[in-house]
Amino acid sequence: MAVAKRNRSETKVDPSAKNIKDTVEQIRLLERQVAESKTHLNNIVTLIQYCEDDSSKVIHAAMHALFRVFSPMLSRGELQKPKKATAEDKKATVTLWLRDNYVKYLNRMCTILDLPEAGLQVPALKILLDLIKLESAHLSTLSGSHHFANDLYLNVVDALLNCNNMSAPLLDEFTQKYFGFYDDLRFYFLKNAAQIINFAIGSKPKKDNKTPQSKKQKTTGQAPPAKLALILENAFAIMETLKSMPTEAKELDEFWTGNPDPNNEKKDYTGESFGFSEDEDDTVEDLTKDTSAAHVKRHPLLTLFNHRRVFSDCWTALLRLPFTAVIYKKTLLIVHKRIIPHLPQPTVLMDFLTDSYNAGGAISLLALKGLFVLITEHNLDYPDFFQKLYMLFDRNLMHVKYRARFFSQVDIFLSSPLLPAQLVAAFIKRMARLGLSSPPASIVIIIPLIYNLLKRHPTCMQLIHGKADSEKNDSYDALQDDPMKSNALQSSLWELQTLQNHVAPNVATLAKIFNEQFTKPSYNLEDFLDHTYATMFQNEITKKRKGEAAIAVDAPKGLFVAAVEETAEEEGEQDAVVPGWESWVF
Amino acid sequence: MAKSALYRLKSSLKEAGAIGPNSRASLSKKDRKKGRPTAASAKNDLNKKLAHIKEAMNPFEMKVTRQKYDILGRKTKGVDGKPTLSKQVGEENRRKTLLQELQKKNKAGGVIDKRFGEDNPNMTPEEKMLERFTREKQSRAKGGAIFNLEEESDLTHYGQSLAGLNDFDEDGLGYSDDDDENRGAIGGDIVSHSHFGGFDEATGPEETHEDGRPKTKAEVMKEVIAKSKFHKHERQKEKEEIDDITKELDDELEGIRGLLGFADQAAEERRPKRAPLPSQKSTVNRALDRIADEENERQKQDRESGILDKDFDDSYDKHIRELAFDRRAKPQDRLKTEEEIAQEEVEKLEKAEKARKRRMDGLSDEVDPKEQGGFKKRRKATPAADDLDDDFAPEDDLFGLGTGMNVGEEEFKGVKPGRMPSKKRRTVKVDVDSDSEEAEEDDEEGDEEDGDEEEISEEEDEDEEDDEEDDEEEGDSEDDFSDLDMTMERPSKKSTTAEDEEDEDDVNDMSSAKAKKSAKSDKKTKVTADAAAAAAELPFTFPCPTSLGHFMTIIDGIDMKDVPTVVHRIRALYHPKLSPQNKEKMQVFYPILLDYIFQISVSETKFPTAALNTLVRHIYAMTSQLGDHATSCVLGFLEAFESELQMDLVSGARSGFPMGDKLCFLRVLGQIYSTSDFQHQVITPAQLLMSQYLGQCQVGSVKDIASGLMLCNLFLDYQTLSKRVVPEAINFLSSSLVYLAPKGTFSEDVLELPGSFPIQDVNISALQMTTKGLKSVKVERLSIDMFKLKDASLEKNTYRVAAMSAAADILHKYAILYASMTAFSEMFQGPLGVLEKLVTVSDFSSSLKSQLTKTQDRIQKLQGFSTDSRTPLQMQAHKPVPIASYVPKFEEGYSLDKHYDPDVERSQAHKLEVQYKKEKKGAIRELRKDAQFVAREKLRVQREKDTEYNAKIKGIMSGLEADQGEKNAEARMKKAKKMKGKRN
Repeated sequence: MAVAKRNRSETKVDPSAKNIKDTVEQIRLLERQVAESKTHLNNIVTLIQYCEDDSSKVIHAAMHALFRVFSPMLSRGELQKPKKATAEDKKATVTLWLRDNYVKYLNRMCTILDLPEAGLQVPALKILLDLIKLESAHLSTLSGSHHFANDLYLNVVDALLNCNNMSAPLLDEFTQKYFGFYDDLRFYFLKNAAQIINFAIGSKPKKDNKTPQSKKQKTTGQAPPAKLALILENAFAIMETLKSMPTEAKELDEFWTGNPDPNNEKKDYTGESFGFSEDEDDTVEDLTKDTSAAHVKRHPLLTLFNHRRVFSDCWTALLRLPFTAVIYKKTLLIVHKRIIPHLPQPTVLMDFLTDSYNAGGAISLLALKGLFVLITEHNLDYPDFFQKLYMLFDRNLMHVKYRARFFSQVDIFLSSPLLPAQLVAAFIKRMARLGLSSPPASIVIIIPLIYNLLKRHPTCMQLIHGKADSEKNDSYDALQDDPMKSNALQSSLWELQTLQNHVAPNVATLAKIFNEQFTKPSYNLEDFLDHTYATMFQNEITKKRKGEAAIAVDAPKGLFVAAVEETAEEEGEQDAVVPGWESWVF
Repeated sequence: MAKSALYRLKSSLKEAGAIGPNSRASLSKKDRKKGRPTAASAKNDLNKKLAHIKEAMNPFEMKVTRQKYDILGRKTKGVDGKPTLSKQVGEENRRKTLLQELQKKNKAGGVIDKRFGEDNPNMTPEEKMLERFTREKQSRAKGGAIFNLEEESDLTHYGQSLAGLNDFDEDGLGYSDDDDENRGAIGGDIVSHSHFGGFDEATGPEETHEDGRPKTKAEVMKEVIAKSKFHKHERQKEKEEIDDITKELDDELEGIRGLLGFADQAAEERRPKRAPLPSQKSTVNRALDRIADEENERQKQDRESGILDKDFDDSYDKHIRELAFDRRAKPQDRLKTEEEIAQEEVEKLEKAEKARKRRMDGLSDEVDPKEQGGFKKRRKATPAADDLDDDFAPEDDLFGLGTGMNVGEEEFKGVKPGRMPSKKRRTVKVDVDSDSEEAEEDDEEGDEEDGDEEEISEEEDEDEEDDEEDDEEEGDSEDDFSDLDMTMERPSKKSTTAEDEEDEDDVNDMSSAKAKKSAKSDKKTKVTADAAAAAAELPFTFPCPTSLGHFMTIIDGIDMKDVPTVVHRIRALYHPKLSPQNKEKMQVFYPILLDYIFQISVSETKFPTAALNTLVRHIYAMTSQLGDHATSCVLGFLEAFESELQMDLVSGARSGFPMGDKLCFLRVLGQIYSTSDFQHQVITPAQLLMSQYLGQCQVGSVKDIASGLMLCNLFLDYQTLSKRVVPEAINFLSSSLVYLAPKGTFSEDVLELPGSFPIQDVNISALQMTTKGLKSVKVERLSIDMFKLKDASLEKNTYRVAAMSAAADILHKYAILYASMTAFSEMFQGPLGVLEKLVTVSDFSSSLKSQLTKTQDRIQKLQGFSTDSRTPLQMQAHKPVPIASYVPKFEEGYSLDKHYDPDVERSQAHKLEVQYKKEKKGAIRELRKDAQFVAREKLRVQREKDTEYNAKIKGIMSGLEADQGEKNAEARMKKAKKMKGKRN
């Protein structure tokens, strides 16, 4: 029957012969026919075919048409899998056929998400999520309790994560309107994403995922690196936007598929399959069991802990992916603010952060903040912290973008007056040493910091005011990794004296504070952190000018005037040497 | 202890000196005669004291208000008062003032007796009269002194001084045209007798007639008239005498006139006008002598004949007038000796240097504003004059321009091109007349003319500086010309090179036009001749450019080497001093010129050094002319650079390193502004930008390295004097050495590298030298034209070696520059380490190797010196700071009544308020007392009246009563008589 119907419809369709407008008209007609009577159900097949059209307009029309076709069926339960699937039952056959086409349609929608056309991606996403809503509503009415059509959502999440053409509108649409807004969508996304990533990595599913996985996921083995990178990128792009993670249970009040149980009624969730595939939404129970939630009467979606749990799972899965440098840095940038506070056990990030801290370079600087949170708030004991911190003061430190952030933390770390003077002196000396090769913006940070340290540790004052008859040579060992052994306290800060002669006037002026009496209790480092070349330049440019700019004392002889002129005629001007520019030919 | 009243009286009297050993009574007569304070003053004093004691002794006069509580530190007023005394004083005062007013109330007019001592009851009438007399005398003496010129106060007439009267006569009747001494006025004696008609007794015996009878009035007047006539005659005679003497003198002058050296006008006219040629000198002299002789002869005759020649007089007067109107020889400055000139130069330089140093230290440069201003002004003026090269333009050459040009076109070709030694031109300057050479410098003369204009305009307001300026200009002229030589010579060669490089792709329209032009001619001489001809045809006036496009159309078809001349002429034509609008035009032109420089430094195939060399001088001059506007223009450029750099850094499409144009611009800035300042409006941002280039741009190619090296060199140039630290430059030099080194020289791990300079994450493969054939690569110098080549074409070892050598060289210079820094060894630790490693590389050619070794050795040595010489820091070697004290401020002699309000305004307001209250209270009290006084006074007057009336009534009554009594008595008597009569 289906074949016959399809044949008939195929004769009608000749998309290449008609222009797009006609096709759209055609689609409207087909849709209307389906709505009018069931005899035209075969139009669905045609419509699905239209979904694979080349023209995006046609696809757009077709998928909306299909949505309008399927949505009433869905809410009427016409797509409900018959209880007893007997081949003879005509009605059952039609239902099954419809189900097949519905699944086809869904798959097509998921592939549309992958199309490079943002104009299609966004409506497709909308349709899919609307379908989820409908499906969930239907299932909820069937089961009498809240239900989420996670099966479909898993596919959507999968499509999103594997999306090759993640466009900005799509990302915005999803993250702002759905993912960031609705608690259930977030919850299930996190859950599904963790699952998908774990599968892609090919690791064993987590202990709590004992239930049978989907057929695809059963095949283990690591996915190709390209795919992993894609997943990482998409997942991170979505996760990065997550700012609305709830911090209290009562914040869980926005649900896409309706509030799970507003009256706090707790019902047993049966393993009964309401959905359209065999595996069903089941992790909900698992989680409740896992957290010994037997006593918990509330729906798991209303428990903050569960949200945190999936959040944690998703991030741990995400962190296992092979990170690119950019994402690594971005992750570290948000880790202390957007990740750690929402983790049920922040210590899971310990390894990650420690590794990052040991990685060196900018990564270490960024890891410091997260580590700092762990140390201060979660009781992490970190051995050789100061030595490692000392090691972070490497040649590129002053030049990286994150130095301001780093120094604001260094200021905190070294704020204890109980630190040994030798250690503080080593830090001071190291900073000063680095200052000799730093951009002005960094020097401007270092100087107040050193001032604060000197003020806090009067023993270190001998760095700038030693005994005149003491040893001349610099006893500081710059290559020594251990600050306590660097012998810095016996040295002098000649570097700072040299910086008093820096080319930038404000740097030079600032460096002169060491010559003055130390009357200021301390400098607020925040005031000095945000300088860059650009800001300093702007300051200079916009400075109110008083008087005219001083002109050179001697009028220039010329731009590049050679000193020796007489040779020019004989040997050509190649040999004319401009004084001071011996290595140049003009 | 309370002593008895008697005791107290005694002791106080003793104190006052009334009794006891020091009292007057106890003094011996001798002492009293001697300078002891005796007599009236002491007596007065004693009286006063006694009165005081009297008052003080009477306790009933005192009124003491008892305080309920004694408060420490509070001074209360009015605790003890003398009510009677104060009442008495008040009463007295009122009587003097209020009572007077009261009595005068409703009365107008009246006579005030102002006679001395009239009110004083203490004076006896004799004393009064005596005092009045002396006063009168004094006042008279004072008044007379105004007119009293001589000491003739004894001459009085009715008590009045006659000296004053004499003076009056002189003033009133003086004959103004006469001499004072013997004017024929009416004699003072006559006046004093006759004009005071009534003083008969004063007429002396001389006033009497011969016959003894006194003269009549008519006679006297006649006499007076006769006398005055006589005097008049006498005066006339004297005047004639003087005239004669003057004439005599004049005659004598004629005789010595020859000696004075000027001939009279007539003789002058007879003389030949033209100065004689040397060959004619003797004959002319002879002729002159003859003429002079004739003249003398004639004059002698004239004089002898006694006729004063009218002509002659005229000529003399004319001469005198001429002399009077002749321009005075200006006092000229003494020609300065060479030492003085040198000294002045030295002083000037020292002053400039001092100002520069102050700025370098971050102080304002105004040491002595006047001096400084003068210096600035001069500096400002100098370049303008300098640049126009007008210093040798003689004034009468102003109009020689046209001929010069005409002649030039024909004759120029005859002159060997490219050979215009400046010496020759200076000979032109010396003898102006010989114009055989003028043809050579036809376009130069355009400059001269323009220069003249400018000079004239400048002369107006800078007169006083002219002398100095001229000196300066002369001093500078040599340099200027040598520069100009360069600009004139180089382009000729350049055009040939342009010909060679004709097939180069990026030739813009201008240079291609030039190339075409040069391509036509195949011989070098011809080319230059053409160019010269073109220069000769340059128009002399140009419109002032309004935009870069406009400027380009103006100079379209004009050879590059002539552009400076065009600029020159535009600047001269629109010199701001010529018209106020010109300043705006110049303000428009300035950025255009900058833009142009900016453009040609890239658009030309060959870096236009010569043109730029001249243009930069124009820019310098314009910068000093335009001042603030120039600054904002330049800052605008810098801002544009900066935003471009930001964009490059964000997009990452380009490395962001500045290429030829920007480098050129930065170089220009360094040339025109003072780079050693601690803070400079232009240089500071420029340096920040340069360090940003060095610090943040990613090195991607050899070109980038070359650009960076050039920036380092620029920095070096900027900092030659002030020697400030530029970490970015050292970093860049060290890191580029690392990048350029052949593969394997340095380990991949950045942490292994020596020093602490940053290493960027760059693709080194394009930069690293390839070891193949490296040994044979010679060290060449980097070329500024490199920036126009393609990146790929630069990936040759030649360029890399050149870059490395340059880096080492610049590093070396930096090391020398920073040798005095205390942290020298720390600063150069990295570069030195890199050099040490590089020296060991065997693949380098010997020249490069020697360069590297040399640099390494020098830096090592300097490092050794530096570490040896430095001492531990003593930064806090100043006076120890006292610990801040928070002890409250104690007031010396604190009083509760005083207000120690730190807020001055508030305390003052409070003070005023209190004062107001007090005054108000006092005023009310006074008014009340006044009212009481008035009432009392009225009552008194009333009572007086009443008593008077009563007395009067009483008197009347008593009179009446007496009358009545008498009447009664009489009546009684009558009655009694009647009774008696009856009885009788």
